[in-house]
Amino acid sequence: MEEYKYVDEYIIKKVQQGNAGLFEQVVKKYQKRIFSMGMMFFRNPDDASDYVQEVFIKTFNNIQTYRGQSKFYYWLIRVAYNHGINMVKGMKRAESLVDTLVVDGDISPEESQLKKDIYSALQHAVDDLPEKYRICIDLYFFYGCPYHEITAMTGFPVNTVKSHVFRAKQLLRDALKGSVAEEYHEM
Amino acid sequence: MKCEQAMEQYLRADNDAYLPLALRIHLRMCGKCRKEAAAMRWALEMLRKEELHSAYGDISGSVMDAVRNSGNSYGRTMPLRNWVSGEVIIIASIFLVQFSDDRHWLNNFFGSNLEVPLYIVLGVLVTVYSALFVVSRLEEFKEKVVKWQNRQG
Repeated sequence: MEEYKYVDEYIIKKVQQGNAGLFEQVVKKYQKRIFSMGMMFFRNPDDASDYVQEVFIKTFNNIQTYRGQSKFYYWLIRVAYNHGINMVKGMKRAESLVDTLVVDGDISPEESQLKKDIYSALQHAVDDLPEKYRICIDLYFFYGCPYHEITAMTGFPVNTVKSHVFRAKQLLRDALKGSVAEEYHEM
Repeated sequence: MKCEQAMEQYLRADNDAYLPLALRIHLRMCGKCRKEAAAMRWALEMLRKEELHSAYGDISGSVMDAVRNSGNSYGRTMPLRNWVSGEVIIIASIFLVQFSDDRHWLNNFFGSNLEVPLYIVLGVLVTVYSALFVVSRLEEFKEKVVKWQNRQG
């Protein structure tokens, strides 16, 4: 996502100035991410698709309130998260995306094993957490949100978020120790 | 910096955070930590790019249809504060222009013939500015008129 970091904000500025058609680029770019969040809340592709549509309409309707103080991507994730939380109020709590991870069959056996180890480490980290804090792992690892954004979204204290993420990273580190990732991906 | 201390600092770093100089130096010098950090970075990047639900189709068309039907066009480019500031500047200029040296010079040069064209120009300026303001916020004004009419009965 790094390579788009300035483009989003430029697009949004243009949308705010009246070029609504450009909003389609944002939708195309982030619909899968938002759909994943929908699956996290609803566990059902139909409901998740409706959720994607609602999130983007809500984002568009509130686009004038985006002031550029944080990256647009984080703002969008925050809108999506709040919308999801409001929708599932009273229903079962959102589950972690970690539960949905499946290793793709089109990769080498080494990479496949590595991914299995990584997923298993994250699963372990998630299983260790009280249910309400599992979202921290998803927002940090899958959505790339920094600690302060997770705190702003969830209302959890920043030190709580940091400690849960740290614990998950330690498990991830243990899973990666001596793996092919260390050999192939040296800085 | 010891290896365990360095790795703990690395693991505590936020997403996209700038690593402290001492840690970066350690990672440069220590092959073991460099490998571990690189593997961690790869894993984190991999997770961020993970296609969590690849079966999902493109719904951008239907989203954009819904967005177009939502009635928000965002044709407005200037916030209300700027409009009001502009109006205040124009009105203040109209009052202050009579005290300027240029105005005295123009009066001396053109005599009383200047008054009418000058105020026509200023009047046109204020009218055009106000018209632009109203047009840019037509929907808002319409809503206010409807609300006012409803209140009147």
